[in-house]
Amino acid sequence: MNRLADLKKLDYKFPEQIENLFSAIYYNDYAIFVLARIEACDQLTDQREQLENFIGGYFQNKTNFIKQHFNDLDIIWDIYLILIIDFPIDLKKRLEIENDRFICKKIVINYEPELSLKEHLSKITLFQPKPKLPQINQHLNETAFKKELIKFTPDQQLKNFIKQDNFLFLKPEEIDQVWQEWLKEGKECTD
Amino acid sequence: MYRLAEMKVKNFRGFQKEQSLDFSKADLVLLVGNNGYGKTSFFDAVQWGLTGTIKRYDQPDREKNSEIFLRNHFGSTAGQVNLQFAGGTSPLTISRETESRYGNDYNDGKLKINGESAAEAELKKHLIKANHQADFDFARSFNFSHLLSQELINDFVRGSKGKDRYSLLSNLVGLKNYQTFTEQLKIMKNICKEKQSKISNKITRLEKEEITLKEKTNTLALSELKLSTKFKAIQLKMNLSNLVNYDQKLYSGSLEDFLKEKKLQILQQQKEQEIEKLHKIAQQQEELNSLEKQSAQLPVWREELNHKQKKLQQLHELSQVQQLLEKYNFITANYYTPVKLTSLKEKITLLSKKLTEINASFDSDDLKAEHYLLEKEFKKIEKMINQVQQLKNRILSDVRDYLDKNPLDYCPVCLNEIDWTALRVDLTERIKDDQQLNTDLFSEREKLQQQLALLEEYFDKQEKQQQLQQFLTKHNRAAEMIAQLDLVQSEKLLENLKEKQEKLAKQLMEYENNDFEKETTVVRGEIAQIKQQIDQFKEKLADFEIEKVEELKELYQQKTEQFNHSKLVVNDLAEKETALQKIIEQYQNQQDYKKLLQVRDNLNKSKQQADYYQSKINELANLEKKVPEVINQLTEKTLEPYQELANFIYQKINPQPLFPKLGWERTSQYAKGNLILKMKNEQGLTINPSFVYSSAQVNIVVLAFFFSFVVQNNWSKLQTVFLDDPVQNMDDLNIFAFVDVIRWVYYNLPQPPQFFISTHDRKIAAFLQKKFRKLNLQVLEFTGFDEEGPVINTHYC
Repeated sequence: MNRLADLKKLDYKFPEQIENLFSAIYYNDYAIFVLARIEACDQLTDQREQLENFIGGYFQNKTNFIKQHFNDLDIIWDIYLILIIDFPIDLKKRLEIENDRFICKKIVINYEPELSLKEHLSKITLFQPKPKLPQINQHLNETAFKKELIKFTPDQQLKNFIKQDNFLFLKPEEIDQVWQEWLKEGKECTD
Repeated sequence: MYRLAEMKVKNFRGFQKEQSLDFSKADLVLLVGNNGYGKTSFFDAVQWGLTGTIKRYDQPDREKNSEIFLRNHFGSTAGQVNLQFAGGTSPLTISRETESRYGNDYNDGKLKINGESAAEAELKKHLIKANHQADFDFARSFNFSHLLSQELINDFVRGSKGKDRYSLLSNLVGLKNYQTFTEQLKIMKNICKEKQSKISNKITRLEKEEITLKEKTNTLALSELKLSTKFKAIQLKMNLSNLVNYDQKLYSGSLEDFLKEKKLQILQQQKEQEIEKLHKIAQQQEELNSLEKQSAQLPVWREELNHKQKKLQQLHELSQVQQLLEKYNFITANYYTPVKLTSLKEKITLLSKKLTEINASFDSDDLKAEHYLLEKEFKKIEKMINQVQQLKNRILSDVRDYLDKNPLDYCPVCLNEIDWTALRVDLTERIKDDQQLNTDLFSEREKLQQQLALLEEYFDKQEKQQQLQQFLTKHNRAAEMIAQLDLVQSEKLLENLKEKQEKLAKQLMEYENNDFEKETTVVRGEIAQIKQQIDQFKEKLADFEIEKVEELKELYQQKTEQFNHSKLVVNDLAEKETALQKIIEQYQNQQDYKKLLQVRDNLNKSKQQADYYQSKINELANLEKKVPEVINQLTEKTLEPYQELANFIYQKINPQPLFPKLGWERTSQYAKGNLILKMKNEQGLTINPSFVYSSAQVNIVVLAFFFSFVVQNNWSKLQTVFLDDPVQNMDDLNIFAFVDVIRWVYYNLPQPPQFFISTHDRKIAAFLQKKFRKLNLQVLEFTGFDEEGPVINTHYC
């Protein structure tokens, strides 16, 4: 569902004036992506408004058209207007467009000549793969923790004591017993 | 992996009437309802049911201690939460019942797992994967890994201190559990302290005892003072005028010093020196006595010595005669003429025989054989030459005959004209040449035979000459030797020698009978001893600077007196020493003194033990401090991958593109670790969202963290995530992005979790329903709330 390869191109002949507004329309089972490449900054505002009108007029008002082409009336809730711009744009302008909630969700993407029109969609969340992350198997086990901890003491008796398997579960009386044994050893040493 | 399949709640928090809710078909459950309609009670039931706690009530609070608030106030029985899970290897039911303890009911209640009463620790086995059960405490790790509420969001970013935030994350990665090490080390330390405390008490007691015993021993019947008095009494009994110095030293020192044996040692040394001196004198005296006795025997020894020396002289002469006799025997055997001439005649006869043998041996020499073989060869060659000659003559006659019958003018090969006359002459000449060759061969043979004869003669002569030469040499040598011997003188010498020999032989017989050799050895030894004694005697006299033996007697007298006097002194000292030893022994045998020694020994041992415990306490205290540090270090390492994913998710929701990077920094401000949240922009400028961000922005930051832990959760068996009003304060844009993140999570995980999301906003709920329409969405609509609890309508989309 989130693969670009699964996207279909809408094969419908719109009136010439409308055809000129966008570059292509792709869709899948749950969303429609209207892609428009805008080459000049001065065209941006007009073209965006016209595209909004087009989406509002065609996709969100013509039930029969939606039924005929997408089989799911609720898809009108998932229309994305993708503005592929071929010129620099300041952040303020970009935010103004992307924060506008009129008609549909709008996303501004910079045009990249090496990408096909469809491939520009890989920049939006839905089509992004999960990043390749380091394997999360670093929950350190008790042994590893002990190894780190005993680095801080030169006392071999303590080291051995902490290293034993049931260290965390020793009862006070068992610890007391260990002290008795250690003291004997210590006594032997001092003698 | 478990998902929540059913929940039954009764008399718990807002729920009074039993509610049974089935979620077995839902991937996402949307809880919608106005504030106060029971949504939070729903999440409380889940949280308490699973962990026995409700996070927001965890802080100690006096007011809380006297309140009943888990059980519903309108209910008549205990609150009950029953959670059924499906999807695991076997169904799991966890149920709890509230229980009032000490006037309040905020506790973990009565837990039952699959209908059986169970201890809290049992939960671990069902909800945590086997390989992580030692690392995680489900109750501590549940929040933020399975549940995210507004309280948690606010706490995490704003409410919590850095160290609490860090502690929370430690729980999520399973390291917090290692705090148990601190507890265990504390127990060890406390036991050790107890032991040390007991030993300290013992030391105090022993020190007191030591002081008492010291005092007691000083006031004993045989105290230092009394010992000193006794000492003086002994001194008075003894007349030691020569040892006044020793006595002064003895009494001027304290008894304690004296007991340390310093003075006793000096006295002992002085005594030993004196005894040694006396011994020396006695020894010298004895030596003098002995020497005096020996001096009387000197003339006798001298006479004896002369006698022995004479005997030695005679022995020497005898030895010379013996040598002469040996010489005479040798000459007689080798050079006496009658003997020698007979020997020469025999040798000449022997040589003549050898000469005859040599001549005979030449007759059968190899040379003759070779000569014979050579001659044979010559004959063979001669025969062969004759045969060739005959063959040649026959060929010549055949050729003549042929040519006479078949005359040839031309050579059939080269076609040259043949000059028969010349050819015939040539051939005849060539035959003649061969005859000459034969003649030459014969002359050569004769020459060879002559040479051979000469050679034979030569060999014969040479051998004989050599033999003769050798014989002559030997003969001459013998003649010379004979000439050397004057026969007349030799006869006389021989007679003399014979006489001497007989005489000496007699003497020898006599000496041998007297065991002369043994006697000589003994006498020699005696002479040597006497000489040595005389030398020693002389040395002694020189040592004592005595010129005459009379002086010796006088000196002896003096030394004897001195010796006797010293003997007296030494005896007195010995008595004094024995008396002192007895006193010291008596003193040491006293019970209190023995006790004192024992106490001192115990005291030393106890002090050693106390030091030993102290060193262990120090080490344990050190390790105790290090536990959080180690947790801290390892947490940082473990959290790294989570940070990366959190950052990725944060950028997807991206409410604040000015600072698009999310991160955290661990500081060592506290031993337990301190986590500071950081937002960074492209230029590296950082801000702390805790103080800069709005509530909505904070929501997004925490959601990003939360999702990173949800996505990478690999320890829990529970695959259900509860989000209590996550979109509160969010604007449309944020909500839109949040929805996309959930959808991204869904489509990216092979086993996506089951989500429970609540919201009070119906519009947002409607929006979410539309957005999640492709999932198995179940909506719990909280439409009202009364005494019986929430009114819930359930429907699926």
